[in-house]
Amino acid sequence: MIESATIDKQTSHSDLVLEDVSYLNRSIRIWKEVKFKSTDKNIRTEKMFRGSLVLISLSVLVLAIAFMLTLVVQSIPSIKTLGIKFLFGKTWDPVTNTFGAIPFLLGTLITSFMALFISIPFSFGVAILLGEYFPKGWFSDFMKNAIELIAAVPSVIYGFWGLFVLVPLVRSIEIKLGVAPYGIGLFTSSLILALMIIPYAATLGREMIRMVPSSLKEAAYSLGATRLDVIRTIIFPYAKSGLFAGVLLSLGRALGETMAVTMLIGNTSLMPTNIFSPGNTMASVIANEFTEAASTVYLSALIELGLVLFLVTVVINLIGKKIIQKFSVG
Amino acid sequence: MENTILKVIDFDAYFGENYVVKKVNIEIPKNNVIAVMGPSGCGKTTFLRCINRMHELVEGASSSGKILLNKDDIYDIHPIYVRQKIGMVFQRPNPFPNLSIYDNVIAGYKLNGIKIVKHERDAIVEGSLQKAALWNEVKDSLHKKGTFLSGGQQQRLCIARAIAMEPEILLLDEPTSALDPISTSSIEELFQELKKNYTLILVTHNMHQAARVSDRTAFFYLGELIEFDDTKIMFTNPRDARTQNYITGRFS
Amino acid sequence: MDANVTYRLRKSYAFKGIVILLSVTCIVPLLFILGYIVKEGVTKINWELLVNLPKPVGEAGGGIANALAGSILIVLIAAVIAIPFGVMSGIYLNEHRNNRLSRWTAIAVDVLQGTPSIVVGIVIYFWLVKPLKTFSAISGSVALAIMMLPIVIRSTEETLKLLPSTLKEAGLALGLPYHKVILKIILPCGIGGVVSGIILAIARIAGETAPLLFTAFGNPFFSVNVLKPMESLPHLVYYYAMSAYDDWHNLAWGAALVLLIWVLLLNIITKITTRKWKIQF
Repeated sequence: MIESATIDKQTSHSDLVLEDVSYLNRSIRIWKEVKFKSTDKNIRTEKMFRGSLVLISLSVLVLAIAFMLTLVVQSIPSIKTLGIKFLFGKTWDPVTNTFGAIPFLLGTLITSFMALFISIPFSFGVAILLGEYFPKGWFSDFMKNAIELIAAVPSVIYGFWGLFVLVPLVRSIEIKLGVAPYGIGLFTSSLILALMIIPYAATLGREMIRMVPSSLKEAAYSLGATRLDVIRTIIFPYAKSGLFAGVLLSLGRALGETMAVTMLIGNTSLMPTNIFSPGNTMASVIANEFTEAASTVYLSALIELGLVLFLVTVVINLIGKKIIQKFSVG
Repeated sequence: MENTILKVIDFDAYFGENYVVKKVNIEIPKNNVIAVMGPSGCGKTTFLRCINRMHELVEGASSSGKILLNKDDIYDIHPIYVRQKIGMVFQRPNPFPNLSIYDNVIAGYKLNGIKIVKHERDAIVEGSLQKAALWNEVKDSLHKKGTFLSGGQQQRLCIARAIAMEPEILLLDEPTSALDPISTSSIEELFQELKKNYTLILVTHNMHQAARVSDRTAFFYLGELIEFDDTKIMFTNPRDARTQNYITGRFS
Repeated sequence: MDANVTYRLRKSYAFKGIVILLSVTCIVPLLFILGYIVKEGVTKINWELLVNLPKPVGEAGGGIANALAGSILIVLIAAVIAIPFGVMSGIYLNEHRNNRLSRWTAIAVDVLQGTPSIVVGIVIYFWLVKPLKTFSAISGSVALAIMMLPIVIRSTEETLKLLPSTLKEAGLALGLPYHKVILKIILPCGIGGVVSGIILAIARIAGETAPLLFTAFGNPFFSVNVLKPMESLPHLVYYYAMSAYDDWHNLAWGAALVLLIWVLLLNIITKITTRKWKIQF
């Protein structure tokens, strides 16, 4: 309880006149009653709030599960009708109800891995540049922004540009090589894909390289190592698993990429014969044929492709994340 | 004993399987400054945090025994009520960075949705800041955020915030250990004023501070309350050998 | 010894040169692409483009008004759906690090983040389009919201994790109820990071086409009916680019530039918000 003596001692600089002590004491009593009344309501609200936090998190979990379930359930007609032949069939012919996934598995693998091989040197180059040579400064900021820009450009714009610039270019190359001058095809898709996935391995790689403890690097320098030596013998081994995780992330991105690939790959469901063939990836055939799928099995086969794509991409991403986790903790 | 405000009966506290506060029995008299001292890890902070039921917020923490605030067992009431009656000041000053000084002091009311008329609100803010000896330094910047204040000033702001709630007891967990000596002594001066209206229980790892500011001192060792007596007696003629060893610096 | 050192030093400098060369080389196609889009699109952008509807082939004029309005509406609704779910989940994951629900939810977030955009589209097709028997803007928004969710959840969680734990303790010790501590102290202190996470999520989905292919579909007419198909900027670019008509190609270039500008603006805003709201303690 505030004693009147204490209040008298307070010289008031505010407008408030504190001479009426009894008023203040009464106010304090009211405050205390009011204080506790609000508290009852708050205790109930608190319970509801905690409950809703749990509920919402649960719904995120349920969402992910429902996703997988939907894909599986919708694939069942295809699995039941086609069975394992689906995964090994080389022919995709909706007219005769033959659905074999190999053309698309091949298309996906070829484009993704070609893109990966083309992009890795560039990704690692950027990672080393930003992680080791230029961690700060205007050049670093410029490169960082540029790399983020590559990732920010919508894939449909890459595809559009690819159609009008890359395709004629590749066509002229194909003419020179004496191959059928489609212009579109697996190779063209791989090129644009390569550009698009550079940022993923680059950004992650840069962070992993920066995490290398400077004490290790300094120890090497003090032994007379050159920068390249340090990169080769200290940084690279240390950051190896992290760099690999970056590669996985880039790969995951490449596997799931739809629009740019759809626009440049030629939409052919035949088995690709060489890297210049037109073809389809799992993502692009879904994009191209989903709305045309008339029969249940047709649609279900496309969903099954989606399921395979989903599983592969998610697993690769999860492995990549696990590696990053281990690296950051250990 | 004169007016007991807090009575602790056979109190134990655990972190999972770890038995950290062992069968404590203590009666805290009103309007006193009570120092709780002991070597690190002796359970004094854990004990303090049980008094305002902050201990149970840690996953796996548990306790048993009774703590009576004016005859009410605090474990029978909802913790929110307990914390409105028993305030706490922490080791590192922690004013809310998103609120102005004014709003920080009144936070216990405003953020609780308690509606108060403006002039009463102003009275609470001014009164609390006066009691925390901070009013003159901040009266012209009440609506600025508190981040420009020094460590000592921030801690006094936290004290003002706690006493604005008109608690019966104010718990202080090493409140000056993060501060410079000048701020420390100004806050120690504050304790003597504050005890006129509140009961202060102060955990300190600095036994000299305990000797300087408190009326009574409790000595904890390895989770047990070894001795609790008038500060003068504790520091000149303690009854227990362990207390004697602690104050003569045999261990710290 | 000297020769060896010189050789190694030369190799080291050469390596640096290679690294710089590789890095700068990646930028070249980017600049080229951006430049090309600007070149082709800038002549097509005028007031007419922004307010007219697409005309049938052969007719001059024509615009992308339906796609502009559609994109804004779809993205807005997606944000409205994703923000509460994302922020609350982020709060939960930060508050409870060790229980089973939070560990499984964290995995669920990773799964959602790794899901290809086209797969999101086809799942939503079965959830919303088939039962309602129509393509709809709302189903597109739901698909985009699901893609926004992992980003918002992660950035909320990471932001709140940076706050010192004594902040929450100070609030609780005042006798404040848990929801007030979270909503009036913790969240406001971290609002900068949370908001920049939200804007980042919006920037990422603003240019997405695949999830909209089978949900919002497309619509040659102007529509703000969320229960009916709606055109969107990325979808229009795709559709018209793939067509055989020059008129529509022109429209697509204009639309592509508008889309590019929109996405870049969002990314710039994200950067500004992130930098401005660095939490200080």
